[in-house]
Amino acid sequence: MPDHDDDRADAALLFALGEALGPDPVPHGLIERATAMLAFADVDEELVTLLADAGSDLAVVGSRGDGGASGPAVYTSPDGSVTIEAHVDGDTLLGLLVGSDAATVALERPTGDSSDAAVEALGHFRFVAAPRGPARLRVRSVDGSVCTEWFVV
Amino acid sequence: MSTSEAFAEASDADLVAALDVGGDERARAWGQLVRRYSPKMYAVARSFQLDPGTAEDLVQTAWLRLLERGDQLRDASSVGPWLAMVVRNEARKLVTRRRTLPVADVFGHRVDDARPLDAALLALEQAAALRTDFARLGDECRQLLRLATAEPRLSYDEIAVALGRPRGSLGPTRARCLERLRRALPPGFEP
Repeated sequence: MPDHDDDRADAALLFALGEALGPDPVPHGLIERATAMLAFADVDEELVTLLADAGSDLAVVGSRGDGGASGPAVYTSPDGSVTIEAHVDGDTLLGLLVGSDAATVALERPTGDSSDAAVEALGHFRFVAAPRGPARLRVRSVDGSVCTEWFVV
Repeated sequence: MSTSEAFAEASDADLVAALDVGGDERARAWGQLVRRYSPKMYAVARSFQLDPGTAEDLVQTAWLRLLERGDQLRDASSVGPWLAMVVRNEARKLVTRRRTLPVADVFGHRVDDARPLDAALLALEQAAALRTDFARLGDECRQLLRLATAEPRLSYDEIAVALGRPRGSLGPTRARCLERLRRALPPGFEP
């Protein structure tokens, strides 16, 4: 039964490889930090419109979509009235806000920290020396608050 | 059975449903999901050759997505593949963006072995040969074999989503990658 022997040899090699590569445990405290995010989400009760990233199609699990791997992420409100483009270049986050007269854009962190950037005349904004990690952009105006999905800076 | 034990055995669908309930039940279900899937999500992120800190950022971002976009999860029992897909999508964006990311060191592993010296030396040599030849495989094979050796074990669906490949292609590709690795190993190598 060559097929059976092949399977057994493959399993043995795979096991040896796993042993050779060694364990790769999650960083200390990762579970606790992820668990704590629930508390932040529950505090965040402000009614916002979530802007969806046109490049991600998470509803279709198992698809081969490339997830918008290149170019700026483009977030659009369901009615198409507000669009935020975001592009990370090194440690600078460059953005373009369209369809809103807000004077500032906020870069929010899951810890609750937030920093603002001024929106220039043509809608451009930038965050210089943005720390790495999960973040999202929020725009507040008299019409309400809109927010991008979480992404990684 | 205590409440926490009941949650430890709860199905993914039950845990996801409990997230909508609120209060203590929501918090317990959340904690259980985080413990169940974070190590797998971390393995998916690391399979893109990202450093530990960046890999954790991807894990945390995927959890935040579940909190805000859980409504996109049409089948609550597929929460594992869904989370793996979020990690994959974000990892690919990062890899495209950060061309000079710190790369994980595949050689930085110590073997802790109490076997007699000769056997231990041979095991060390074999492990070193495996790591060297593994590092020379193409990206695709390295990622697949990383995921196939991850602990805790990922499901076929999770690995397929992480690789962006059809599930049915995993077996043949795994066999091809292992054959490539086997051919590169020194003569007389016996795992």
